[in-house]
Amino acid sequence: MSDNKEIQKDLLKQLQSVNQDFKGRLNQVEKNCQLDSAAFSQYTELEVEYLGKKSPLNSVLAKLQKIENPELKKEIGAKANQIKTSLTQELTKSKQNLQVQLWKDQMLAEAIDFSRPGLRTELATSHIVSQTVARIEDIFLSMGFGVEYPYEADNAYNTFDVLNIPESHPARDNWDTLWLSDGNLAIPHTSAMQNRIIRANELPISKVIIGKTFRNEATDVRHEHTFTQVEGVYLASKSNIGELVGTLLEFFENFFGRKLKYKFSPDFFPFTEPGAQMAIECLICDSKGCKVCKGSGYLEVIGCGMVHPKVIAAAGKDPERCKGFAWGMGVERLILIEQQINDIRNFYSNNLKFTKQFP
Amino acid sequence: MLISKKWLSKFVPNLDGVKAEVIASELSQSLAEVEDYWNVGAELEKLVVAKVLSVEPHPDAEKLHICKVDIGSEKVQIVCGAPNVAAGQTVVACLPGGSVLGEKSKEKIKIGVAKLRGIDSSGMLCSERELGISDNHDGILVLADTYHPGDEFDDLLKDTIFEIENKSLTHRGDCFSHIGIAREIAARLDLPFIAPEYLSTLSQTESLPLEISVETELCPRFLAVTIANVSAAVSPFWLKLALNRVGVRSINHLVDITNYLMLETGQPLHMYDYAKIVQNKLIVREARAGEIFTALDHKEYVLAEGDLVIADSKKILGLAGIMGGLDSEVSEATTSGILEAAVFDKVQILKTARRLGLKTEASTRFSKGVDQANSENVLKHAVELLAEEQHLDIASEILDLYSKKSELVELTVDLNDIAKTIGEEIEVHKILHLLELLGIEIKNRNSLQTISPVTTAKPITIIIPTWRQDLRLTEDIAEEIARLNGYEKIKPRLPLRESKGQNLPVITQVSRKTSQKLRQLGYSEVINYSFISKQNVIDFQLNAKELLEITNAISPELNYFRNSLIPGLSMTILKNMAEQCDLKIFEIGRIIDTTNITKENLPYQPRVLGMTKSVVLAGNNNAKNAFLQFKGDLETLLLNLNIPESEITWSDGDNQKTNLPTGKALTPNKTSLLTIKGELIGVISEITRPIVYQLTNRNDLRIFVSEINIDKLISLEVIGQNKYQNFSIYPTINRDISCYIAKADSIGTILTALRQNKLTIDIPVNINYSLVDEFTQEGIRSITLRVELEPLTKTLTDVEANQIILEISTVLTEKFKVKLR
Repeated sequence: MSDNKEIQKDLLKQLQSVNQDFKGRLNQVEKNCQLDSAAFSQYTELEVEYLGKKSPLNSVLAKLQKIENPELKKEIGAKANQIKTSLTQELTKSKQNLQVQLWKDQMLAEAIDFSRPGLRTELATSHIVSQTVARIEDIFLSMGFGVEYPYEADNAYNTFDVLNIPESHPARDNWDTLWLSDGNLAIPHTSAMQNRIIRANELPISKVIIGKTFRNEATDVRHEHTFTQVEGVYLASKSNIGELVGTLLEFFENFFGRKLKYKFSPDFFPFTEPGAQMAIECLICDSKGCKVCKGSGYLEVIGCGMVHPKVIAAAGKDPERCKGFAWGMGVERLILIEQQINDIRNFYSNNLKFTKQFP
Repeated sequence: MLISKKWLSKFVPNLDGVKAEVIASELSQSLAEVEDYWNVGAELEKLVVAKVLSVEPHPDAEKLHICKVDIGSEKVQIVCGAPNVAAGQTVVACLPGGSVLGEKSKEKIKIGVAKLRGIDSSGMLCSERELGISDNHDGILVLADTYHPGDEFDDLLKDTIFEIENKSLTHRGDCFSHIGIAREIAARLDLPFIAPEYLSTLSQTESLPLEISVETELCPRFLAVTIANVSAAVSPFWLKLALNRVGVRSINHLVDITNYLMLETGQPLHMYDYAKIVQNKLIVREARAGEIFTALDHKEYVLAEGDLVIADSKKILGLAGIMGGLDSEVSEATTSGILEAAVFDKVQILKTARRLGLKTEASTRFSKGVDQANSENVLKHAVELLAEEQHLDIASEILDLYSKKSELVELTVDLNDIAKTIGEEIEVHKILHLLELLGIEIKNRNSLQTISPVTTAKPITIIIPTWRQDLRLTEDIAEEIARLNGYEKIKPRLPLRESKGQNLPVITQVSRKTSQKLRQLGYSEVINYSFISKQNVIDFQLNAKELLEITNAISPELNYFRNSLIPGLSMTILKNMAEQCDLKIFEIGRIIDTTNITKENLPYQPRVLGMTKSVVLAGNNNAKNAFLQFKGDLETLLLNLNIPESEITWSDGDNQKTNLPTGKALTPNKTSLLTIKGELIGVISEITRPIVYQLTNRNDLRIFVSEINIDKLISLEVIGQNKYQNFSIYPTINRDISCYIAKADSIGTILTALRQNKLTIDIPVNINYSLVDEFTQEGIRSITLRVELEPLTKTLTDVEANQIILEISTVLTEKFKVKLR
């Protein structure tokens, strides 16, 4: 029995000292952590030392196995577990408090001057002409027009002959065509596709043809040898000039997002009869008259007309039963108006200072 | 083209009361754009016709004269410094309070009562320059005696000039004249048009023999008459004024009259010096190749076969319809002349003028079409006008070779068709009236019900006036009605039709998607010219024989159509280097492949994607990774176009036997051809270091390039739609396998083999293979592969995973002789 007493005394003493040692160590760790946040890892050491497999507390519990007296075993066991729980709680609490403190310090250290610009990423951009072409395609698509694209090198047959511009026609000079060594040419207008389209489709035909076109020009602020043209052709069993005006107006009002005043006046193109041009109110000066509209208050934006019977016949359709209209306009011109760009050469200079402006 | 309002008023008297801005806007609205208009003579005030009664020398100044002049209401004293002033002259005086033009035109000089060296002067006698009709300031203007002292002179000099855009008149030869424009404005404003009256005959009073011979079919009408006892005198005031107002320089009376009538009627005329014609014979013929002709502009022209000339038996006298010859030019010595009015084939005139780069007022008119029915009238009128100012003798009958007499054109037009084309209901009587305003005769007018609606109106039969060669179809007539009635009155409407859905073409869908994906990857789009320069060809060592050449470009850098996007993209990088060296750009556009001719006999013009990335590298260390990132970007794009990885093949880097247009600009061992479904689709490479160095003078800049044929890619039908795939709900297990491989081993082949390998183990599991690392250490190449095990039916145990990995490792070691690390 005395043995038991001895053991009991000894074990209780051990538990007592574990408890006290732990408190001392925990205090120390807390202090260390106050001085240096790196000491936070000492909590793990503490945990291993006092709550791990080889901790004194565990050795007490191991010795308990050898005690036969159940009451004694129970009493000391309860005590040991109570100490273990309290140690765990104290450690966790201290650790948590300190962790919160550390986070707080960290955040304070990361204080941000919100007036300072953030670290920004420059977005990759698409070309303004592509963006605008897509807008135009989508508007015409919504109006029931399909989209086609021209070649860049084509023959005089498709570019001129079938469009009622035989070689003898003085108007053939109006195009300032770039000619190629193989006898073909760099298309001066997207109308070069018109014959193919009329030939290949059944009525009603409604298509826009969008692509690069070329003129033999020396470049300067207002002249460019390369530009993007949007050609349109509509053919049905019947049609009239009113539908031409309506279709174009519908497009421009959608494109510019507002009601527009317009002027519709005669013009001459060998492949139209009657031929016309349309001008819309100058959006730069609100029709008051400025340098861009040459004081007229209107900007010419499009050449158009009813498709010439000879053009229809040349594409194998009967001009008596096939009526409609066509037009051609420059994409860059619309952008110049919309963005008020002062130098047309910007479009294909690929100067990043220009292209980046249109994300 | 310049048009004088005063000149128009000759044919439309009521135009006097119409404001210039109304004329400008009405012409713009109905015919052709009036680009500009301006007033002339507005600065001139208080000018009167004066008669010089006497001229006395100034006592104090040698050069000044004291003149007594009759200004109608009174006789005044004017001091004049002109050397040519003489008693009896009819001149122009500017009275005190008036103004004239100074040395620089538009500069206004006020005239008052003055003392000139002590002598009173009540005004000034005016020179042509002071009146704004020429630069001549050598003496005062002397008028013909037909002007009366005291008559106001300001009004004669005041005019409005319209500048008309003549591109839209290409089909309207008749409008290259004041009569033509006058007829148009009269019709638009519904004002009376007074047609000119012409002489019926000329009476011959002398005899100078002349023979004409037309030896070509390209001259439908040739008229000539000889005139004796003429002189190439100074033109009368009215003629000089009229020419000056439309920007034509006065030369002499004979030449000026021909120019005047061309500007008035559109019929060019020519005057030869009779004495300079050999054997009194004019021959119209086609030139022989290589004949040389010296024109009035003192330049020699080498003619081609078929060019039309007027010649005598010895020499060429004129390039028909374009320019007269120096050898037969009228001059001060001329005493007799031959006046010619002819019409030449418009196509031939255009062809010759184009080839020689010699476009003249005459050639412009001939190439648009001259009214040959009116040529004789104009010829006679020229003689008549000359005779009004100087004595002359008509020395021959009018010789007229009129081989192809033009028939009057009759047209039957359904008015309902016209209304349908315009889309507006226009009353029958209105249509008829508008046509008549244009000089169109309505043959069956009397039988027409002009009050009936257009829908039930009978067809009309009309006779087209000879000057309207452009009116041949119902549509042409519709245009006349539409523009005279007013384009502005046409109500906009949308076509009514079955509304069918439209899709964007596949190329557009793919291009837009490509652009979007590339931008996500940080590549910005550029658009280059479709042309490249000779310098590009040298810089990128292209084969000029493969390029389509531009033969007539004005801009010096437009030499060829491009056959690759790579040079343009590389140049774009260089252009922006000062701003930014690390660039990622792309372009989608057509290239022209002359080695491949289509069924339409055109070069193959596929749409191609070009991608370029430039990086600045300190050493070689990062170069490989930078290139692999570029390749990864391209692969990311391809995979995101849903092209199966199994269809994508890259050729060996050392395989450089390619026929790429830019082949010589690409680094051989860094060039790989992309093959999809066994078809060559594109290339990935790096621009050679010497080229980059030469263009940039930099050793640290690398330019990676790639080019993909999008049209071909689409035709292979490998671009798929996004498709949802069931994914496993069981945890995925990742295992890495590291091994040594041989220097020549292809990682792609290893991965492909693993992907194609069928496992023997009987557990449903998806396996994905990827490369996580590749490096070479002490000459030994190592790779780390990641194997992703995705069980489909249950959670994979460690043992099962190990079993699979073991099997994969066995494949590696047995098939590729790799050594596991």
